[in-house]
Amino acid sequence: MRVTSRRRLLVVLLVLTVAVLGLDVSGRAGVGPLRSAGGAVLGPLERLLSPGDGAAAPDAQSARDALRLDQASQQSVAGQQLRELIDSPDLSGREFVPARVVGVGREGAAGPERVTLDVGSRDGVRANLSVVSSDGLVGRVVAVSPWTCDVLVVGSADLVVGVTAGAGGTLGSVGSGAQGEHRRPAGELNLTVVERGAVRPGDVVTTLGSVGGSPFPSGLRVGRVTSVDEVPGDLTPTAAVRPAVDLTTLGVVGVLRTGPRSTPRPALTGGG
Amino acid sequence: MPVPNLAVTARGLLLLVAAVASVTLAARSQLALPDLVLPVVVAGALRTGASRGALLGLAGGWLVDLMPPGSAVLGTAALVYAGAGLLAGAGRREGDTPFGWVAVVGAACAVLVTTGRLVVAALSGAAVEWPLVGIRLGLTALLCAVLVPVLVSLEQRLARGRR
Repeated sequence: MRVTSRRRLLVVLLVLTVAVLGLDVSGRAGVGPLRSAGGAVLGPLERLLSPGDGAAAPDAQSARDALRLDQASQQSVAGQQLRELIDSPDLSGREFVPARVVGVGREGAAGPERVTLDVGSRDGVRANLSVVSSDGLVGRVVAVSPWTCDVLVVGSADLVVGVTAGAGGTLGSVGSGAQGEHRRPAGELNLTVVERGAVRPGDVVTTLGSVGGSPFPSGLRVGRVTSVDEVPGDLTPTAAVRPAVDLTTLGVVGVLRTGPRSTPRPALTGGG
Repeated sequence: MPVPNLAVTARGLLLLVAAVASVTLAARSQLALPDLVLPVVVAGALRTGASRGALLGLAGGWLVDLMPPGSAVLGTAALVYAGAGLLAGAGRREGDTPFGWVAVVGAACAVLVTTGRLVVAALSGAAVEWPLVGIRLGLTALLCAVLVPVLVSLEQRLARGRR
């Protein structure tokens, strides 16, 4: 290949790359298929290299039975984590697909912002489902390929979760610690509440729930308030939250299969 | 065709292995890991020059972008690695490459990639973990200094064997 034609090829490819970048930043459709194509081609490679095999079977009941039978699995880390996940109070009565973290994106300057799970659309996973570990909320599914899915984790710049905080159930939202008026160290989240003085350090922050149960059902633990910003000039009261989930030690997680309810709710009569 | 197909295939395979290893290793360990893709790009660019180096960097960056879970914004890693390939290719020298020069080029490329990531983080509003960034930068420069001479000499041997 001659030097001029190679340079021309380079310029064309760079322009295409900038075009894709612009499309992705502007949030238009068209980039999604590219991501899922990448997941479909490269995802199986990651599944192949995932640590161990078998404990995170797609069927929860069979996984549970297998664990009960297999005494040795009590000693394995993955089996222990799956047991903790099944016994977690957050998940009681909720249907979930057990999955294993097979890839962690740490290419950015921050900690992990996106992780890959070894379940995909063939396992009934779709975008906008929430992902939980035994400690609480991990994140939201943003891209699905046939055998893997990508999860945007709590604390990344693009994820904001509606929450209730404190004993009074004050409404608020939790987002990345780098956004907002007070810059927080990496690993801390920023909580914005609607009412001043309603949260204290130590208060538990749980999800508020979304319309139709997706992406976030209500009552999942997000974290705990560590400090409240007492600055009189602030327009909105804010606080620092330590996430309930340690993202660096994620192993077995569950994808919650929530959706809009299908049964009508009965009306009540007041007896006072 | 003057382009040695064997070397291109070997570089492509190495890029794929490095890109898969960086996400799967990150899932298994909690330690800070060096950039595994950069040494491959730097070694290829040092052998072939600026424009081929930039093409190699672009290809490696797109692999990093598309490897699940993928970059937050598609195309950012591609542009950053293309810049690194361009820089390393500009540092190509005829004849044998001295070790000190390889280490300098590798460190410069590591600084360029880290700066690119910091710019992306600042633009997207992500939190920056400064200690992690510093450790990664040091490890990546070290890995480049160790791995790039090995890769370059392997490629030289490959080219000599074909002749």
